[in-house]
Amino acid sequence: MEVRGVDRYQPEKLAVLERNLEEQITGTAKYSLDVATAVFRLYQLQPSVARKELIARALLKALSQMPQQDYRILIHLLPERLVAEEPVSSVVLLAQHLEACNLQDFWAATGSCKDTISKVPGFQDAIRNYVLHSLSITFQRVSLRVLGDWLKLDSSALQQLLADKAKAGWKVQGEVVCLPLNAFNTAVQKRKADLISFEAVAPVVKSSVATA
Amino acid sequence: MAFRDYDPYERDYGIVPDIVKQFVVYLYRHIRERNIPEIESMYEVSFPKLSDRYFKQGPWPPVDAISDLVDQDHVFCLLYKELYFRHLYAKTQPSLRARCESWDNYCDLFGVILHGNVNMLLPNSWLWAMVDEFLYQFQSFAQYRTKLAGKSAEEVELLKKCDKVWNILDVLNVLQALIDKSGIVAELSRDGGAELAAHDGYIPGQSNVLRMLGYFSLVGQLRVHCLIGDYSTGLQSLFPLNLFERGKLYTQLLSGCHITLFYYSSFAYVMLQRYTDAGRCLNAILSYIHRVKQLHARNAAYDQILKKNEQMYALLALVVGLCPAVQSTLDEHVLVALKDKFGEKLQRMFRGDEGLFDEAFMYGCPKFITAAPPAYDNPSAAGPQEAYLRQRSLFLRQVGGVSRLPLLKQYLLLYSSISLPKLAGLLETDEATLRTALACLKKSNYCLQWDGGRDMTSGSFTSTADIDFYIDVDTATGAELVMLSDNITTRHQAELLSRHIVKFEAIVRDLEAPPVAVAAPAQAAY
Repeated sequence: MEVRGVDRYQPEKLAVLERNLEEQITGTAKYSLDVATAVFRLYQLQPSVARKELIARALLKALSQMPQQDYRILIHLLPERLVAEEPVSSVVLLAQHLEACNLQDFWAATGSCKDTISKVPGFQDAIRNYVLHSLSITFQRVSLRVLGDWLKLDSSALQQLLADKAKAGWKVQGEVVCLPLNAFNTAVQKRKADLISFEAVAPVVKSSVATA
Repeated sequence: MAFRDYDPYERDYGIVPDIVKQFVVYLYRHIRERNIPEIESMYEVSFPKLSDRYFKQGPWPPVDAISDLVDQDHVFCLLYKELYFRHLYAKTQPSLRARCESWDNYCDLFGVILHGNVNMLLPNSWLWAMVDEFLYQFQSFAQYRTKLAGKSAEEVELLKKCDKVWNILDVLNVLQALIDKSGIVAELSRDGGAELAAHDGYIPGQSNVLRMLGYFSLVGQLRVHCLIGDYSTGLQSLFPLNLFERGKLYTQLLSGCHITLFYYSSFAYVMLQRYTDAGRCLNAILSYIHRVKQLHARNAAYDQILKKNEQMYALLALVVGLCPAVQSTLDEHVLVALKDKFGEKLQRMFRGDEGLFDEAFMYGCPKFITAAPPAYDNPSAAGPQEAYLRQRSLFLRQVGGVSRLPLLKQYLLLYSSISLPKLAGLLETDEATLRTALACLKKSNYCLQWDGGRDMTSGSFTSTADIDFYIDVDTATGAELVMLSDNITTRHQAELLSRHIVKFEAIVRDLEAPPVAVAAPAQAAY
């Protein structure tokens, strides 16, 4: 659902937008950041009609889009009073751990908002995908133990996941997992040679021709 | 809701000076005759001069005092009141009544433009000032009503009744209506603003009022969205204007508009953590101000331009502090000015001094507002600073995530490869924390950058690191190693050298030129 132009500013449409947002969260409608932004904007205007548990769920859904900045975009819209209480505050804490790459604390904190997470299907898988992504920009090879810690998976589930990812370039060699190579985790000897453009030397050429 | 009965003070205004009467009559006549150069000169020169001479402390004559001179022309009276209120806001603290009346006036004026068939011509600078002032008064009202502490009980009662006045939804809807009715989006998508630029904004045979108001409302929407913290919608609402394809931007001719546009866009990019894009925008606008500063030296807007210049240097310091790689993309004179203003502070920012980030943010940020009206019955609930404090805390959290990394960076710079346990020992942490910190460092350099997409929020991820590394496991020993890339930059000083060469040759030429005494009689003979 696209929310453009004058639709952005119609408080009468709040119910429609909320319904669409709920459908996005459960996966029956296509994900669109515009709808969540419109809903949060209207909540800022009238904090009394804000539904905190919907906010919490929408924030989780946005968080699962990482590394896209959707969560960041939404959190700026919410005033202090809407994020200070449960269930939104534990989601905010969760997000802080994730943004700081503090995965131990992150997985520990998911315990405190189990209910909200259970209402957002696919959240844990999406987060695991994101963790794999951030690993692939930092590591070329990583030990199985570290991988298991960061993904909070026991060894059999981990092996299953890696088997699924084998086609994408993830290979297991004993205790070490090789990650697919990309532009970010390879050492490139970057020689940045600033080319001298003609415009830079044109004035010199011009003046030397004039005085010649 | 409006307060239509005027103050008794205003009814006995007294004598309107003759020269002011003349000004009004001539302005009316020129507007009727669509004589743009004359209107422009009266608006930009005579109006400020008269304001300075006769109305330094107080307002202009109320519209009733001069309406007879202009045959009670409805539209002219609305325009006159717009100038009247603008002057009132600039010189005095407007009362609640004045604020409500000004709101009604803007509603009437925009109503006439949207629904009536207006075919007058007005200077584009006036139209921009109309939108700018409209939003400034909106911001001012939003801040006024949150300051409940100093108000008497009856003032608070009156405020409660004025909930329809300067309502954010109405403001946004007005801007949206102007954009839709003027068809500016379709026009700009079609030719990228070529026709507009070719005719300097005044397309012959048509009224420029609705079209230009639509154009300026695009910038207006960006501003309102940034003030409530909705950065991505702000950037999206600018479509089809694109700051990275600057050649086609009409706003370059109106410095106020151009500066506003770039200021709010760069701020939005900073809050969205897109530092390279913010750096590009700031670089462009600071070069622009550097070029056109002198042209406005005697203008009333000069102070405003200088203030925005300083604010944008503060924002640039933030961007550079969070993403040092941006420095290499800046123009030389911008970089030099930045180092002048913030040289030592930048060094401390690189080392993670959060207080300086806070200071720069406080100076450079716009005056945020909360969309919702305050809780009138509970004055201590949230103060006027609520919106600012909220955005500030989010920003400082962003900074906090990065400010602990400089020590790590310093160590990494010393090695081309180092084992994880050894690095952990140097930093006096354990390996798990170190791994987290390294991943965090890598993540902080992984930014979205605009790459030619449809609107300004699109982009792809690139690395903006000044030190590149990855972590590998040595298959032989099973130890983890941090491997750093070598960044070799061969910098050429071509531009700098050629500039100095030309300057030097000019100086030498001046020194060698014969004294100019013979030229004077030759001039006189003409």
